[in-house]
Amino acid sequence: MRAWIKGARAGAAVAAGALVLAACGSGTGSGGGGTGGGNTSAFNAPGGYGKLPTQSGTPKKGGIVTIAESPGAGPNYIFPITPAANESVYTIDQFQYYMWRPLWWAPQGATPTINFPQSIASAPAFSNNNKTITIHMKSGWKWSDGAPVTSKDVAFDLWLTKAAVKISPANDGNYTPGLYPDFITSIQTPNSTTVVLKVNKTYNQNFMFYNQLGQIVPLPAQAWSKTSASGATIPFANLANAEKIYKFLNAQSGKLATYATNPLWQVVDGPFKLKTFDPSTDANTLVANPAYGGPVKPKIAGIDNVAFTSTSAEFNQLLSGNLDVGFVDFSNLPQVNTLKAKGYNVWGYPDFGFSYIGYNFKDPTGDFNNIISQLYIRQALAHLQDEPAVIQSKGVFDGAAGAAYGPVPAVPKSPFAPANALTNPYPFSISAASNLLTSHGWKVVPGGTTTCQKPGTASNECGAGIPKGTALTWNLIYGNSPAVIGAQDEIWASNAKKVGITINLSSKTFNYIISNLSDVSNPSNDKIWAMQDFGGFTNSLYPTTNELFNTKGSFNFGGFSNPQIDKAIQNSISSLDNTAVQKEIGLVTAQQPGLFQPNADLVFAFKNTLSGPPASFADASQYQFSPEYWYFKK
Amino acid sequence: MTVSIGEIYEEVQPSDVAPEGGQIHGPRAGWKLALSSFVENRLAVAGAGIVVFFILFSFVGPLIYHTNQNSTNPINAFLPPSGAHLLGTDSNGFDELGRMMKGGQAALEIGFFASLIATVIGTLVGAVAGLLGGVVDAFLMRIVDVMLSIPLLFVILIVGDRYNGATVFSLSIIIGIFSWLVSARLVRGEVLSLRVRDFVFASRTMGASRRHLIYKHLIPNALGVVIVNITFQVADTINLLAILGFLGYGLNYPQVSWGDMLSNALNYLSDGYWWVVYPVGVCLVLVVMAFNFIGDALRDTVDVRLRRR
Repeated sequence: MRAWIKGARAGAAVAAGALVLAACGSGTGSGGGGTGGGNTSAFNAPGGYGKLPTQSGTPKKGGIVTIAESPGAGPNYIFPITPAANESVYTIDQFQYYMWRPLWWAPQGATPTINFPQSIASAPAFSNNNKTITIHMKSGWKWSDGAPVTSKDVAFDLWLTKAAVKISPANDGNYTPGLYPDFITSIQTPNSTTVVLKVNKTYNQNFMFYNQLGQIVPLPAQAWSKTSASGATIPFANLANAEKIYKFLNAQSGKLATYATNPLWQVVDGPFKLKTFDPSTDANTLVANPAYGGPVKPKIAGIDNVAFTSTSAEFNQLLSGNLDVGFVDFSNLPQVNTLKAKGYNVWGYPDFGFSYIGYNFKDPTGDFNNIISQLYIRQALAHLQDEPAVIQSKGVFDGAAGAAYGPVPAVPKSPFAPANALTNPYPFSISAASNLLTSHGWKVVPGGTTTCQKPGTASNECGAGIPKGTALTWNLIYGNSPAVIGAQDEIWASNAKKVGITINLSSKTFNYIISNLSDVSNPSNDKIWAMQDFGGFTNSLYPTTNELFNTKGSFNFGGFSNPQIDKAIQNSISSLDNTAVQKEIGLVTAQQPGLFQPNADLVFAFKNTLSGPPASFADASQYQFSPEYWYFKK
Repeated sequence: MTVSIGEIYEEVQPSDVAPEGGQIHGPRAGWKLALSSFVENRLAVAGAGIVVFFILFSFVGPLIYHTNQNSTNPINAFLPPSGAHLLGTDSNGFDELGRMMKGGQAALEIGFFASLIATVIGTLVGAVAGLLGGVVDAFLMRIVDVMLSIPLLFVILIVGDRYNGATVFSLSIIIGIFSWLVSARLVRGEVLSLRVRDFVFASRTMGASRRHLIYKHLIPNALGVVIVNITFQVADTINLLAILGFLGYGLNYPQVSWGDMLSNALNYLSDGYWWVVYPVGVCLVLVVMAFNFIGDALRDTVDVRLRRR
C-alpha cells in the first residue's frame, strides 16, 4: 500500500498489504536488458517528467554515490525473509536487494516486466497442468565467500520461508495463507542448477511466476544454515531444523547495531556489501562486492545512503549539491530549474501501481450503499474526474503523473494492461455525467442538490433501495499528506457540484484512515465514511486485484462485491488462461469499484557528474536503484 | 505702537480669563470621555480603521470584485497577478483576492460569533459566581480552573478530529464553548467589587431579586471589562482559527479561512508563488493586530484611573 501514491511499501508496512507485498516479492527493476537500453524516449513519454539522464562521458573507477533515504523510512531489517512489520520498499528494494538478489529481477527500467539478463534464473517451465515447476539457474553467480549460488540456496530460502510462516504468518510480509509457500508440496534439487517444485493444485502460470515465485531470494545455505554464530551448518530440508535456523537468523536481524559487523551479513551475491549501519537513523554505507557474479560489476566504490528527517531537509541538501541522487517532492517541483542550475538531471515517472478513492458499499448513511451500488452512478462519478487537467495543473501534479483509469495504469504500460486501461472508458464530461443521472430518474440541479425523482428498479429509475427525494450528498475523508491528495479530491468535488452532487471533504492522517477506515476486520466505522482516499497501492507484476476487489479480499474495506469480478479473479489465479488477468482488469476498470486517479511520478534528481545506462536510472521510478551500472565521469 | 486700555479690555473676553480657583467645566458624559480618550489613541483609531476596512473588504468586496469561488479551475492554478486576477490564483485556480475575501468572512464571522458565545457564557458564570459567592463560587471557579488547565488547542483538535465536517457554525460553537473562562474570571472579579457597593446594597434593601441584581446592576457595570475582553477574544479566536487551519483542522473545502489558505500556501513558500503566501499573511497579522490595538485602547478608556479627564 502506498502511503499515498509513492510511499509504496512504507504503507504496506503499516497495513501489511498482500497486494503490495506480492509486488515486493516479485522484485523491482534494474537496468533493462542487462546493461539497460540506451533509448530514453520511452521514459520521456507522456506521464514522465523532465529528462532522463543520457549515458555520456568516460567512466571513472571508484567514487561514492550519495543517495537520499526517504525521510523516516530507512531500512530496519536485513534478513531477506522480511516480517510484515518491517516490509517496505526502503528495506527490501533499496537495501536488501543491494546484497541479496531475487531469483528473477524486475522491472526493465520503468517497465514492469522481468529482466531476464539480470536474473539468476531463466523463465520457469510449467508442466503437469502447472502443478510442476522447473527452474533452471544460470551459472556464474556466486557468493562473496566464493561458493556458487546453487539450487540448494533456492531450496534453503523456500524451507526457511515455510518455517517462518509456520511460526507466525507475520514473519513474512508477503505471506497469504494457502499461497506461497504453503502451496509448495515438494522441493527437489536434482542438480546444482535445477529446482523442481510441485504445488498442490493448478494455478495460473502467470500468477505463479509473476506474482508468487518472484518472492524467491536465494540465500547462502553454506553460511547461514546454522543455529548459532559459532556452530556448524546443519541440514535445513526439514521443518524442525528450518525453524531453528530461521529463529537464529531472525534474532540476528533484530540486532541493528551489529549489521555491519556480523559475519553472516557479509556473505552476499549482490553487487554491494554492507560497510556501516547507524541503528539510530538507519543510514548506511555499502561497498562494491568484487565477487559479484551479475552481468555488470560496479564501477563505483560504494554507496552512502543518507538519512533525513524531513523532505525539506533532503531537498535543501540537494540544493546545496551534497547528494548525488535524491527524490523531489511535488511541492518542490517549481524549483526544478534551480536544481538543474545546480547540476542535476531531474526526471520522474510513475511506478506500477494506482491511486484511487475507495467507495463504501456498506455505508447506509443517506442510502449511500444503495446509491453507489448502481453502476451508472459510479460511471457518472468517473466522468466527473478531469484527469488531464489534474495532471497538468501546477496546483496538483504539474505534469508529473500518468493517466490511470483502473487498477492497471496507462503509465507505465504493463504487458497485462487491457484496452480500457489505456484509453479512458469514462472521459471527463460533465454532460455525460448529467445525462447518466437524468436518464436514471434524477433531477439534476447544477450547483444545487440533485435528487431522485423516479424511485424504482427499471432502467430509467434510480435503482433499488433509493427512495424518492434522496439527495446525492456524501462525505469523503482524504489523507492530509501529501497535499496533492486533497488537491485532486477538491477538483473532483467541485466538478461533482456542477451536476448537483455534494461531496463533503474532510482530511485525516494516513495512519488514521488506515487504522480506522481501511481495516476489514474492524467494521465499527463502516457508517462514518462514504468515500476515502489515503493514496493507493503498488501492484505486483501480475496485477490481480484479489485482495482488493474480491468479495472476501483482505483489503476490500469498502465491501465491494461483484460475482463476475470474483469469477474473473478466480480465473486469474487458477485458470490455465494466460490472458485471465487482462480480462479481470478490464472488468474492474469498467465496473469502477472506486474512482481511479492519475498515477503520480516518482521524481528524482541525479547529479550530472553521474552517468550510466538510462534504464538504470529509470529503475528509480519503480523504487529500485541500480548503482552497479552507474559511474562518475572523468 | 501704543494701545489703549479700552482696546485691551475689548479683546480680552471674560470667558478667556481663567478664574482664580481654576476653570470649572460642566460634567461631561462618561461616553464622551471614553470616546475622547479612544480617539486620542492613534493606534486605536488605526485599529478601528483596519477592522472596518476588512469588514468592508470581506463582505462588500465580493459584491464589487466578482470572482468564481465555487468551481475549481486546475489549469489556471498559480497564475501570477495580472489584470484578470489582481493577486493571481491559488493551487485550485481560484482568484486569490476573491479567496481572501471569502476567507476573511469566515475569520471575522467565527471571530465575532465565538467571542459572543464565550462572552455570554463567561459573563453569566462570572456574575453568578461573584454575586452568590460561597459554595457556588468555589464550585464554578474550580470548573474554570480545571478547564484552564486543559490546553484549548488540544481539546479543539480532539473534538475536531472526532467530528468531521468543520463549518463556520460548528467551529464557532466549539471555540466559544472553550473560550469563556477568562471572561468568567474577569467578570467575577468585577462583581465581587460591585456587590458591596452602595447602589447594590440599596437595591437589595428594596427587595431586588438576584436575577434583577445581575441583569440590572452587576452586568451593566461590568460591561466595560466585558467589552474590552471581547476585542481580545476576537483577536485570539482569529489567531486560533488560523492555527487550526494551519494544522489541517480548519474549515473544510469549499469553505476557507485565512489559516487554511496559509497552510496550503506554505507548501509553496519557496517556489516563487509569493501571492498565495504574503497577502493573506498580512491580512491575518493586520486584523489580529487591529483588534489588539482596539482592546488596549478600550481598556485604557473604561479604566477611569487611566482615563484623562
